Amino acid sequence: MKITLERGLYDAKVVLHELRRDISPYLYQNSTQRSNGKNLLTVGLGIQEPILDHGDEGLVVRFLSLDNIATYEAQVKGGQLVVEGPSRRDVDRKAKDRYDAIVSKSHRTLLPILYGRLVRIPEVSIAMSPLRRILIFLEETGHISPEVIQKPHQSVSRVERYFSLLKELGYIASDNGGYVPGSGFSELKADAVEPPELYERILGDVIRQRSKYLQEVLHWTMMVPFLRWSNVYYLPAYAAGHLLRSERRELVRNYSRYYRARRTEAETIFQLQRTVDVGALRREKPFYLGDPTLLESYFRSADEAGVLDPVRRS
Amino acid sequence: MRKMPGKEPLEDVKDGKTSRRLAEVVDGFKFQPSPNSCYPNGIHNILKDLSKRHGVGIGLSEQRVNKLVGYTERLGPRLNVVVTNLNAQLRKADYRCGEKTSAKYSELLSILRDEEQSYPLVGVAPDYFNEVAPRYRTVGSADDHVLICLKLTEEEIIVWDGYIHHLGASVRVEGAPGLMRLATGRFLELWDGAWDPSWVFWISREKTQATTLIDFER
Repeated sequence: MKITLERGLYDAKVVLHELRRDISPYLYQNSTQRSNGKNLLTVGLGIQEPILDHGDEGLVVRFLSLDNIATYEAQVKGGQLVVEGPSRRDVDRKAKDRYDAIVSKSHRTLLPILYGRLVRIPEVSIAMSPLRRILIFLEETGHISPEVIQKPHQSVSRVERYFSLLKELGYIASDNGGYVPGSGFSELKADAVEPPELYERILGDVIRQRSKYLQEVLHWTMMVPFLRWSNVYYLPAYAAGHLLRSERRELVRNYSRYYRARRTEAETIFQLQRTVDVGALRREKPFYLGDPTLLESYFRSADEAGVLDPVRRS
Repeated sequence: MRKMPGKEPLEDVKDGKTSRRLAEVVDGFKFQPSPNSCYPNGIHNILKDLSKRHGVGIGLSEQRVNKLVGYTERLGPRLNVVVTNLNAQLRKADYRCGEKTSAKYSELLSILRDEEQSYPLVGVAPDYFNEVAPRYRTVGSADDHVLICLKLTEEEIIVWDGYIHHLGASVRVEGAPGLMRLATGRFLELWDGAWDPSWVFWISREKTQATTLIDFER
């Protein structure tokens, strides 16, 4: 992208004005600096994302700013100010990637926090049962071989995937053709973490550290709708900084924005009810609210993970 | 929105262009589907109105307008191409659009009174949201907003705001949904306080362009 202005002097405000006309009216100045004789202007992009909160404090409309989205060089050449940098398409792509990364990071942060609720979903509980059985058997007997959980007509390689998963994360270790508790398992026991919390913590960590593997390799896609419909509440709540009271249409709008997908009204109602049924959200008609304990855990984890690091909130 | 005592109900107010009731003018206006699509949404609506009033087929679907103005969900419209691209379409029907910054109150009034021209679009500073939704707190750096002007007097301006349904049911609806009134003095501050101060956009029949441009370039 190259813009030429009939100006003999650099002025960041003028350059920004031109960029707002040519790239996006939502660009703002992040920083300016001079390097190797060139003037550098770094810009951010304003995200038009009103977060409606029907809470006691009154309604709040928040706007987010995606910092440092692009840097443009400006130099005076032959009496003209020449501005060069990423094209509109590049800026759009960067904004999309950055935004998608925020949503993904929020998923990874939310997933282990929701684990206790996730396992209440029958399909998820069934999918996780091989891992849970390995842990239970180890706790009771101290040693396990793959045949113990292998079902008739089930391939060894499929069963081995569960063992490999737990071994990679240090919860089990190889021993004489089988497996024994690994260092992670032993550390939890040393901290007096007993069943069933022992199993919850380990499985929660598996979800946290291997969510992409679970979804894309083991095809545990049953978690996806639940995670998404929880995220459309909790991520905006995090951006707002407190518990929100949200109407269904606001959650639907968030869904459309985060996932660039639409769901039928029926599917939306059923999935949201499911999320309420397992305790990830509460319902005070016509609003949906988060669970305060989950919210607090998510906020803490999201701060540590820097979920909204690319975004300036106020 | 601040209540203006003794004012005629919005639905009964007639515009200065065609003497139609405002409720009738905005009937069929579409609300903006995204928070940042105020500009293409405004263009779509004023084209629809002009098309109906003049009995000409110059209306463009929202998708078509979005494409012409280079609208993307994240970046919004590409301001530098709007007038050029739209004119390439409008010229086929002897219409033309234009935009101007640092426009005057009198120029805005002139467009509003001229039946040959569309209702104008104006840009206002984000403080506008504090006017229309005083129960809202706006946090973070909001952006300018585009409104459709329907009527202007020395006391008040009446606009149509396609964003309103994003603010939920708590914005008081007066007359038809989307209709808003502001004191003219306050409006002029918001208009001039926008990033492109006192920016206006309009569409008119080609034969009237000569007069319009001479006036504006004075």
